[in-house]
Amino acid sequence: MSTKIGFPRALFYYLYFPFWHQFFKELGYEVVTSSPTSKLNMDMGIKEAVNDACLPVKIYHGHTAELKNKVELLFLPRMIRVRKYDTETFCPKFLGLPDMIKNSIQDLPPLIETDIDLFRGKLSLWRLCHDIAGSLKIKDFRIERAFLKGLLAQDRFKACLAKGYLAQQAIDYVLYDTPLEDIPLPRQDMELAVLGYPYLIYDNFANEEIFVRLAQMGVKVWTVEMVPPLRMNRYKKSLPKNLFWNFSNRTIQAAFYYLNEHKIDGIIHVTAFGCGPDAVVGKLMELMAKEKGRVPFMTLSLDEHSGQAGIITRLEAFVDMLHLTKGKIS
Amino acid sequence: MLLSFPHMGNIHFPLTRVCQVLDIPYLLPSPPGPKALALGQELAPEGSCLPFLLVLGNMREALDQGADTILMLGGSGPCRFGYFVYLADKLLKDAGYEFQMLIVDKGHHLENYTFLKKEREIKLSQIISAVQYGWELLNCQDMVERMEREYFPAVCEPLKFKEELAYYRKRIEEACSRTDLKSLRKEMVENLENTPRRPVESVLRIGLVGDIYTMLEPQANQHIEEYLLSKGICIYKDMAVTKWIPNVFLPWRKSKYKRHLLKESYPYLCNSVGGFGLESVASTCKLGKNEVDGIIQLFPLGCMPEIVARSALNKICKEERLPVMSITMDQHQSMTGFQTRLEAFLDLVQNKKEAPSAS
Repeated sequence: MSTKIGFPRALFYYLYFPFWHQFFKELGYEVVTSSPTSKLNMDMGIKEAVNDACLPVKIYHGHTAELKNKVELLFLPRMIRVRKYDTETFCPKFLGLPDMIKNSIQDLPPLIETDIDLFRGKLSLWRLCHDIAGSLKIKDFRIERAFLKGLLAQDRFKACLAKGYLAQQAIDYVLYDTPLEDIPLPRQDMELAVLGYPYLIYDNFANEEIFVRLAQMGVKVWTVEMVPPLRMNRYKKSLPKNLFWNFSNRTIQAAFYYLNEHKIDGIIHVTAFGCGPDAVVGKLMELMAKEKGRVPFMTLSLDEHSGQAGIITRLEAFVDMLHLTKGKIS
Repeated sequence: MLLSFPHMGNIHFPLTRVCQVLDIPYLLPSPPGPKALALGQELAPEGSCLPFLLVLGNMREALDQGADTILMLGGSGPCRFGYFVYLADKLLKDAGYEFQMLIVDKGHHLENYTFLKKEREIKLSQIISAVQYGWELLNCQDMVERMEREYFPAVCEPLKFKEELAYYRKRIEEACSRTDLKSLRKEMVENLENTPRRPVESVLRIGLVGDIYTMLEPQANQHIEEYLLSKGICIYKDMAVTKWIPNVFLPWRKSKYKRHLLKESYPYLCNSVGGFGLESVASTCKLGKNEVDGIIQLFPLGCMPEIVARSALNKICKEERLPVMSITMDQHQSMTGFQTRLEAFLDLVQNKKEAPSAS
């Protein structure tokens, strides 16, 4: 039986899992993920993590705690940079994530710790893969094959996200050939941009299935991942200084795109309580929406309450207001 | 042109002196307090941290009083405070203020210099010598404060020591050249270091760690230093503007500084996390070894680097058997809750010190 590598189903899972899954699989390992976020592993995370940490980091702790007894190795990368772009890096909690996990959770299995610093793009990634394979005592052509398969899977995954599928659907499609199914949209009366970080947008438990709820209200949803990358690059210089955080830059640029090029009826900013970068991102987006002829803007802040009613009420109120302004209310 | 700058601890004194030397008219906002907080809260985003609220409040107050240029430090992350100057610029302009923001950051130096030259006809050589003078002033101030923190509770004749401190403080304020300040600092260190003191073991010693603004600005840390000194507790604090600025602004010192910190904080934190997270962990490890009796970590609510540091401090607390308490500071201005926690912690540390085997 092959060795099991654990990959917590949280944070960067929602953007980079297909690559790492294919890579480790080709090297002859079995990749195990934790179960989708639920009350159970969220509570575990709240128990283990530092109490000031934000919701996504607590969820990550929970997933790691769930995995620790099920696997022989745990993949715990430190995200430093994924592209060379001003001073862009990740939020401090990402930079210190392996340390936080090691400090807070006891009896961890052996770790694969790597610093992911892709300042030279794919070349750095190739080197990094060699290092990881080296630490697993693999040194032949399998690395190249695994690397290419990983890239291929990642490209197919990105294409699915760009079409508007949820990350989990896209991952299942790319890795296990589960057919893609559209979220049923009974009637379409408006288009909203739902902007935020992938680990909040695509975590159905944390955001109380925002996509399904909005679809039921007749809303077509646009996300950050649905913006064509070349269009996004146009807004590289729109701020006096780019933000320091990768996900935040992508969110802001997506907001610029939707406000300038793509007709939408409003923006919903999904954020987590206690998210540091979002204090800046949210305010900047609010000011941008105001400048662009008062585009309706709402911040939806998620926390560990996990009460559905509050979120649904806020979404309904926002959509109703938009109907009112359009003069369409029945 | 009327220049203004937000407060941070006593950094305003050297800055006003530099302005006087360069003959730039300046306006000093009132020290951060409830007023600055109220002004800042009105404009700032909901989740912003206490330092930003106070800084923004300071800026608004100055602008209300007629300042038209604001000097402020920028940064390059990943702590969000580095971006706040750009956000503050947007927020204040959105609120209808008209002013020029002088940002001290990479890529802005030339712009700032041409602005100053145009407005006040200041030569580069003048700026350099004024900044050198201000720097020395800052060094002297830091030194006096450090001596007070570390020696005062242990000296045999506190009244005499206090008088001497006041005497040197006055002389620093009066000194008007860099060479004067240098010789004064040397004299002061020699003099004060030789004051007769009780052995350090007889006094309770507490280390303070946390982010720079909370460490330096008494309003943001509920005057913790004053409180601890009044209880006769020595304070050890590594945080100082004079230690931090050269290591961040002089590129050749940066990597050496970081390597040094990483070595000290190993194995609890193995990467820089922005802000002062790494410094907090490194200084906890270092102070812990030098037989500090306890560590207090102070940081504003939502401070990302310090949250990462906190997870490391929790582990240090368990593994090195070093008492550590973390307190989050927010807009609440009530002293009672804060003091109760401090007292409880100090009692605990005192008991542990007196009966080390029982703990």
